[in-house]
Amino acid sequence: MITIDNLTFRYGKKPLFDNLNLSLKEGNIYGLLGMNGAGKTTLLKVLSGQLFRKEGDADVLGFDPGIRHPEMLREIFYLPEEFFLPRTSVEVYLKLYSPFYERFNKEEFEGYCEIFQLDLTQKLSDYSFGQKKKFLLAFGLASGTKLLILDEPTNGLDIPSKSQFRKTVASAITPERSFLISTHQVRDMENLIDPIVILHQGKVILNNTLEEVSSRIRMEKTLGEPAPSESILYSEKVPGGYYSIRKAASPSEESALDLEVLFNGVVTDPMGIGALIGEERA
Amino acid sequence: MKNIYYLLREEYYGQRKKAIVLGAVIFCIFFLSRFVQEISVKFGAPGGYSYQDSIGGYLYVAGFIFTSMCFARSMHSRQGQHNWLMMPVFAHEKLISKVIAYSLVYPIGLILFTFLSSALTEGFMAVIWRHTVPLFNPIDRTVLLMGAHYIVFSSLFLMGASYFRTAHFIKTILSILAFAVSLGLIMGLEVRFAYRAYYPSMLAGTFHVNGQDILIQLTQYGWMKNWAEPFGKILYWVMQPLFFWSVTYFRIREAEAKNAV
Repeated sequence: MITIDNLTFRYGKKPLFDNLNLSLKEGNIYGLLGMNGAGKTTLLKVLSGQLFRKEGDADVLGFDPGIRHPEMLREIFYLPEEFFLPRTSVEVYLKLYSPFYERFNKEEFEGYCEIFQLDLTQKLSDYSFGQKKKFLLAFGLASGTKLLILDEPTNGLDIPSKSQFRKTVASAITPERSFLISTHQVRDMENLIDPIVILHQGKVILNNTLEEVSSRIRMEKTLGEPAPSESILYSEKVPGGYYSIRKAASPSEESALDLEVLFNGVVTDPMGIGALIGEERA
Repeated sequence: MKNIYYLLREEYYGQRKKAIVLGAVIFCIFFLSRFVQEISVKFGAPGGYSYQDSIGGYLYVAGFIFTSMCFARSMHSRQGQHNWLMMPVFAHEKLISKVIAYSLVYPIGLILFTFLSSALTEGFMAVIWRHTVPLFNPIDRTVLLMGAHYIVFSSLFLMGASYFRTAHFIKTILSILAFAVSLGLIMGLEVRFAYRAYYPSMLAGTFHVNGQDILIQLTQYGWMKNWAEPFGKILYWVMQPLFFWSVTYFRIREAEAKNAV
């Protein structure tokens, strides 16, 4: 679905991506994680053709994203972190924008709006920020695009809405579609995103399913600080004790994963934990 | 074609309020100016009012301002740029929809609206003063020629709209002025060298060149007469808008998200 080879991108002279490689397959809900300034939004914009790469090859749904071919854009719905909705009614919005998406399903859209408890008789400008986001999410899910890009989708959503968001997105995935969700709020995305893609210092340092991750590392929570040993790859203090990551003794030895700890561990030691998890892929 | 129609429909919904305000302003100006003119005639002022004279201001000034701002909500807006870039249409479809909306629909719509406004205003004047003046003639040759000039020049403002991120209209006007002054200086220097025999000194101010005379003189020559005028016409009516539309097209194609950041 998406293949990127040796992507280089820079703002002015400052390089952001240097020989970045990434491969995403259909049928998955990818979680794109990275620190502030890691380039998550930039990567999403390069993939959607909003920014042009400087070097390297990119293939998104069979197209070069830099060309912004309508056939490619018709298969991408991108919900940005900051968005704009015109001052129109829902009906006019649908009339203006749904024809661009051939597989847009109005019944599905109304169903999603019902789940998100949106009043479709209200003007879009009267919606709150969270309601606007849910409206666009409902539109995107109903558009039937093969790729749905969501940048920080849970920012601005209230607690029940976050739960609704997870359930709705999980139910909307099909073998032909893929969702790419960029987020800082890993707790909001737990039990939703899989595989995990971690972007750090201009490179993808992890692109693995949770099954692959849990078959290679084991996470433990202990009350006291774990004694230093060769098997401990990373540890951090968390409320009520310590979380540690160690190499799994065997692939069948599985443990519950905490995405926040995993992220911290991978960005702290990309050559250790990141390489260990990704060794099969490499 | 389908995408152009969708884009035009979006343009209509985005601009209809502005169009209504402009229409209301034009009608009010017509009505008030005619009303005041009729009163002044009652007090002995000379009569005579022509709707034909008033169209230029609305057509050119308002039209060029509208055209200059046609990418403000989309290509140059931090908020609107995302939707504009992600719209599944070709760059040429985006361009064609703008050309249709701002270079064709606007002048035709304005000319027809002016005709209807003049008819409505004169209806009121007939009732109030029992006196009317001729209605605006939308198929008058001068009006049609103004419309054609508008189409040519709006291409330049469309290019300005695509290039300048802020103050689109003012920057386009200043660019035209800068270009005209530069061209004038180059031509002046060229003439100074070409006709140096006529200059007694660098600061002599007695030499006078009349552009119209030169053109007339040039067209006296057979080869000039045969191709200079048609070439000039093609350059003005065809090449100029095509050039500016082409530049706008490439600007649309190369637009990136960072331009609005």
